[in-house]
Amino acid sequence: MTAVLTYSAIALLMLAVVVLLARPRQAGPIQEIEICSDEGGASWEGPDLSLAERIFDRTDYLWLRDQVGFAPLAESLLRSRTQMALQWLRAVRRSFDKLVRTPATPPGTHNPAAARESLNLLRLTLRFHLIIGYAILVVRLFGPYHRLIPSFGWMPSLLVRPSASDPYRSADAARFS
Amino acid sequence: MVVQIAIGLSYLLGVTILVRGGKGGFLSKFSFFFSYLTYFLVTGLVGLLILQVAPQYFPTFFWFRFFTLVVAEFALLVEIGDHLFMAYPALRLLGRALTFGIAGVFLLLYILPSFLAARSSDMAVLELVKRSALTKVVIIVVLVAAARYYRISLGRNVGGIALGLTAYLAIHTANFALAEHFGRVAYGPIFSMVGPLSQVVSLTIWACALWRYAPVEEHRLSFPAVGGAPGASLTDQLGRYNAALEKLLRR
Repeated sequence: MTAVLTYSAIALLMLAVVVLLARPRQAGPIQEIEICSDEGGASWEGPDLSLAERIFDRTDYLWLRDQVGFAPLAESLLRSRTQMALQWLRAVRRSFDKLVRTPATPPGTHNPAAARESLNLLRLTLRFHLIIGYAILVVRLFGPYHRLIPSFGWMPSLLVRPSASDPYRSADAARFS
Repeated sequence: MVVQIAIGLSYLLGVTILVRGGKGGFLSKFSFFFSYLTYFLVTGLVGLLILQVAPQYFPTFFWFRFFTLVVAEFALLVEIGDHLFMAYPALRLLGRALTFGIAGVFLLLYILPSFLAARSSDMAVLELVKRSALTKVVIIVVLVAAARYYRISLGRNVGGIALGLTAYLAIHTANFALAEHFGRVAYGPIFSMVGPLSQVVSLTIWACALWRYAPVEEHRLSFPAVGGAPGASLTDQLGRYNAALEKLLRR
């Protein structure tokens, strides 16, 4: 009986979701502002990228914490930078979505070159969403100063094979001090 | 009696939709949908003819028709996705990618295991139909949600096709779940009634939605070139976004 109720509920829920999602959006003032102004967007040229580099740069945080010794202030800076980083990433995503929504006349049905181009564009779009989704998750969980790509700096020491003549070459005594 | 009325009404609505599509000149715009509808009507008539002339072949024909319609509904989903994202070069194949991706994952993880583990052929068929119907509803929900994310208006035609198909599949799923639970003896009469009634519901929605041609509206606003020089190709601009984001990640 549970399975019947579950399936019936899921089916009706899905129907309700489609009805809700299929409703036309009201083009209100918020949407127009968002589309018309460039304030909500971010670009990759000029000052915007340097702004991003500053948001994600930990120098100020380390200076406050280690050199000046204001740990509470450093934590406060970290929190505000996290919010800024998230806002910046979301603005970039909005800007990207705007670009993606640029309409164009559809090509003919039998056009292999256009199909390849569409496939490449879709790949770039999905790749961007995957990367930015991951970046937002990491910033939300660990803050803007965490490495977004895990470091594999320890790998070379494992990959270097000690030669027969020098069996202890890969060992570094300094690491054990 | 209810079943006969429902079947008659289904034919009336189906023919009306085809006539309106022909008069409005948009049959070719929704080629999958109108092919599906034509196939549904013609094979229904052939089934009635077989039932009168050679009833021993009717069960085989019924299941053949039934399963071809189940497969054809996936083609309808592809058409819905194509219409939603056709105007946007970067999203043109998104509908197909979502449809094939979700269908593939659900087939491997949700449909096939239950089909292979079914105790009898009856149960296997019920599970297959129920689960494939739910998979299609999930695909529709994801397609409509993706369109809403990108602020793409569904339009009366595509929205109606999606809604009609969802209503049909939702009733179908619940009907097959109930049939599986209560069995052929207890639920059989209701089961045979709900099927044609669900067709009437979806055909009524389709008739209203496809009364006249109303395509998916595309954005009329022209956006400034972002992330590249004006006139740079969309591929270059999207590539620049990806490259810069990667640079940020590797810092």
